[in-house]
Amino acid sequence: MDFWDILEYAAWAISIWLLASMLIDAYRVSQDYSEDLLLSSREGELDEEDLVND
Amino acid sequence: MTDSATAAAAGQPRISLLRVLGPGHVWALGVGIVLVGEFMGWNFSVGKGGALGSLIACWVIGLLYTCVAMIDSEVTSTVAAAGGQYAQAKHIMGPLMAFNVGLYLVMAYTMLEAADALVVGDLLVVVAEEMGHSGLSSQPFVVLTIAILAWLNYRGVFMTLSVNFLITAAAFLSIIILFVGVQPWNPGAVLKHHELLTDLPYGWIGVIAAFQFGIWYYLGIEGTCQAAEEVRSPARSLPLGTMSGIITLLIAASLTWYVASGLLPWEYLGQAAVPLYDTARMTGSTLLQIFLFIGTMFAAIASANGCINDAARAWFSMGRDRYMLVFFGAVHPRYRTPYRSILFLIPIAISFAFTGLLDQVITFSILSGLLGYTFMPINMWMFRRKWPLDSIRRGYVHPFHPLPAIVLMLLCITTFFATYLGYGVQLLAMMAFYILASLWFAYHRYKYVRRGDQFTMPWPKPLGY
Repeated sequence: MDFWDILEYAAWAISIWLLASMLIDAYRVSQDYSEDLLLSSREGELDEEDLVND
Repeated sequence: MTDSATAAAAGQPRISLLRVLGPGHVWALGVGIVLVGEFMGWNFSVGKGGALGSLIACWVIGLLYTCVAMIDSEVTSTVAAAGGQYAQAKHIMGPLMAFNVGLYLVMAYTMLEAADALVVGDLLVVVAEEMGHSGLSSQPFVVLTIAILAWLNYRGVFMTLSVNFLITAAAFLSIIILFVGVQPWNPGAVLKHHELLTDLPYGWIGVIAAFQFGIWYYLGIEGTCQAAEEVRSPARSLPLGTMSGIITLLIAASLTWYVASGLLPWEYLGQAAVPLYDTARMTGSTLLQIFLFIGTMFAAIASANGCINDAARAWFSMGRDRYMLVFFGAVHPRYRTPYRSILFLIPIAISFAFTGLLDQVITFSILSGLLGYTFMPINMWMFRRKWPLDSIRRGYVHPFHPLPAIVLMLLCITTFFATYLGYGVQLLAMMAFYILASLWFAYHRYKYVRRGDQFTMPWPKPLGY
């Protein structure tokens, strides 16, 4: 097994880790926040006081 | 009263995309998506029409895109929405046109993203072979490219486009370095135009056929519009970023043609996979080769990055308006990104990339983009008619209207003809796809759309209504 073989396996591993982490985060967000809030953005200008602060 | 007005009146919290971007980010988004076309793809226009035919296509299509940039800058400076041309169509032409434009955007950018990831994978395969390792698979690197960039987009638009600014600027710089490296002030020393340039090998019909791939120099500059909901000053940043972007691309396209046609015979140039990298190899300079390898990689990565950004925002906007599942209209509460749309488009991009058919994927991307450009002159004409110059404030007013719109329409018709010459089946297949999608929208999906919520811009009633 040479450098390029290792690089191939590393590419798959990193890709799976990144994709899984995004999916897990998306699932957690869906559990922690209401759907109404997540879908609350509206096209056009918004008033600053309506924005949720982190 | 609409639901949004009810919510606002009740003081319910809302989350939105974050207004953090400046003109430099807009430039990075537009040029970043496009610049890869200078490193690969444009040269197929040489195969169609010869080197001089490719130059004619470069400048004629450059004129097309200058009209696109001017028209888009005016309308976008007044439509501060993430949907870009989709939001424009929704307000100016109506829901069915908006649905089609939204699909054009998603398909064009997702396929371009797939093509970019393929380029990254193929480049690594070439490097591995040069280092003695044969049989390397490009697939894990295609997936890795898309995964890393999707993760970057997921985590925030400011970092995404700041990174894009750096790598796009580096890629552009590599073209400048190559241009300087071939000593243009000393004709014949390195560049051999006097030996390599020929007459038009297929006559003027070849020049027309070359228009299709001339698009590759500039395809995607209109993607700056998708940043409209995230720039701090849409009226200023969008026209400034877009117009400076098209100027950058006109310079890059001209320099690219000049150095490549001066070192590579047109018969080879017309089918080369990485023409600028091959040009650097012809100079015999290892340093130039390294610069152009890095430039090609950076350009492909920047393009994929910008495409993920734009395709997601178009899909997000359609979801928010219920043109697609409203599920996709969600904004991440911490990162303030359209995270569900970003995730949804990942497997679609990977699927396109795994076909390995780079030229087919590029062709479908070009066709979807071309349909979008054909919509623009009609959109512009209706915009000026319904909302004349003194009716709403515009951040930018493009000159000589309706000349740019007329020129753009004529060039689009010519380019459709050029595409039909080489890819007639794909053109017809794409038209059939959009017709079927339109029928689905009109007879099934539209009943879910809240018609009263669609018009969101603070504009007066259109003239005549």
